[in-house]
Amino acid sequence: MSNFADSLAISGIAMSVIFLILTLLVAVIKILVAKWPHVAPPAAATKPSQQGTNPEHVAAIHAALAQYLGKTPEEIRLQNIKPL
Amino acid sequence: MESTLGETFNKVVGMTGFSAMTPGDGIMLLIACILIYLAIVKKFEPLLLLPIGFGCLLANLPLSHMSASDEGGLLNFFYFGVKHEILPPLIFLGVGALTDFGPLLARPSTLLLGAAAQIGVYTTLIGAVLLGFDLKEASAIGIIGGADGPTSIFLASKLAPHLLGPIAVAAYSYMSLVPLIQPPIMRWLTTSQERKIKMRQLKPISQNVKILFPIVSTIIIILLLPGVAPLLGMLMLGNLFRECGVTARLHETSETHLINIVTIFLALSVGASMTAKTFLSLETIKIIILGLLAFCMATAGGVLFGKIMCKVSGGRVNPLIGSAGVSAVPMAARVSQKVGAEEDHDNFLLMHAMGPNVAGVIGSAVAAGVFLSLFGGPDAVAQAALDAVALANPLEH
Repeated sequence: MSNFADSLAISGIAMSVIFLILTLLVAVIKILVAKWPHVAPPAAATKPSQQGTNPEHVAAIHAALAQYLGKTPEEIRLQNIKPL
Repeated sequence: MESTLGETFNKVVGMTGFSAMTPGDGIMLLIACILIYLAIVKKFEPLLLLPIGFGCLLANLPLSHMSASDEGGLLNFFYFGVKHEILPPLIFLGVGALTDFGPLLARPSTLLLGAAAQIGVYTTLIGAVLLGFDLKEASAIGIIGGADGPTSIFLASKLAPHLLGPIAVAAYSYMSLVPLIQPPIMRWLTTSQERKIKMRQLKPISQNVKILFPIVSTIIIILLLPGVAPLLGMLMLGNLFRECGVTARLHETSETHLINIVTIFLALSVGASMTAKTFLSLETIKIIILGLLAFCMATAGGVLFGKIMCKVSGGRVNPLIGSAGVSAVPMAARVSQKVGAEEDHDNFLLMHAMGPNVAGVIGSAVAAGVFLSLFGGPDAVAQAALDAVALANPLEH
C-alpha cells in the first residue's frame, strides 16, 4: 500500500517536472526564434523558360488547347509551358 | 570393443546440445523463431526484432555459451555495452543525426504534447506497482509508455536488469504495432469535426536557431536532470552534427553506419538476455500486458491534451497530432497523418505531427531522467564516492 501511495506521488511529481522542463524549453525556443528570425533568401532568378512567357500567348494556347480537346477553357488548367 | 564404442557414442551424444536441452530452452527457441517470423514475414520492426530473435535463439541453444550472462561469451561482451550504458546513447546519437527539429522549433507549444503523452509512463508505473513490482521495476516497465526502445533498454539496464529482455521485447513489439493500437483510440477520443481541422503551414526557422537549440537545451535539461545526460547529450550532439554544417562526415556516419552497427550489437545483446530463466515467468506476461496499457494511455494522454490545445487555440490545432507525442519516430506521426487523411484527403498533418513526435523523444528521455534522479542517482553517487575513496587510499582497499 505504501508502494502504491509512493507511485502516485512519484507520478504526480514526475509529470510536473516533465511539464516544467518542457515549458522552459518552449520559452527558450520562443526567445531563440525571436532573437534570430528566419530571413528569406534572395528570390531565385526566373527560369529561362518562364522569362519570355507572354500572358497573351498563354491565353491563346489555353483557348487553342480547349478547342482541340473539345472542352471549354474553364474545364482545363495549364500548369506549365515549355518551349520545344 | 562394443562397450568402448557405446561409451564413445554416449560421450559424443553427451557433448551435443541435445543432451543439455530443457523444456524451457525449447520454449525459448520457439519464441525466438516467432520473433524472427514476425520480423521477416510480418515486417514488425525487422531491423530490431530480427537480431533480437536471433540473439534469443543463440542464447538458448544449450552449451553454446552465447547468453548475455555467460562470462567470456561473445554476446556477453556485446552485453557489456548495454550494462555500462554505451549502446543506447550511441543509438540516440544516430537518432539525433536523423531528426529534424524544425517542426518542433516552428511550433514549440507541441513540446507540451510530448509531455502529456508521458502520462502513459506513469499510469503504467502505478499499474505495475499494483501488480506487485517494486518501484524500481515499475519505473523500468513504465518507460515502455515512452515508446522509445533505447530509453527503455537504458533505464531497464540501470533499474531492473533482470527484466531487460521482456521490457525490450514489449517496447519494440508494441512500437511496431503503433499503426494498429493508436487509430481506434484516436477516433474514439475525437469528433469528426476535430479530425478535419487543417493546421496552418509551419513557419521557416533560421539556421542559427537550429544550431543553438541542441546546445542550449542540453545545458538547461542536464543541469536540471543530470541523470539524463548520456541519452540527451548524445541526442543533441547528433543533431548538432546535422545542423552545424561543418561536420558532414560525422553526420553521415552517425545517421547511417554507426546507428546500424550499434543496432546490431544492442539488439543481439537484448536477445541474448532472454533466457528461459529470466523470460519464462509470470512477470513477463504482466510486462506484456502493462506494455499495451502504457501505449494506450500514452496515446490517449497525447490526444486529450491535443483537444485542450485545440480549445485554447480556438480550433487551430488538430488533436490527432497529440498521439504522435508517444515518440516512436516517425511511425506515430504517420499514423496521425493517416487518421487525419481518412476524414479529409486534403488534410496533411505529417509535418505538424513531427513536432510532438520529436518532443516525445525528448519527453521520454526526460521521464527516464526523472526516474534515474529518484532511483538511480544515490547509488551512482555512492558508488562514485566509494571509487574516489578507493583511489585516494589504495592501501586500505
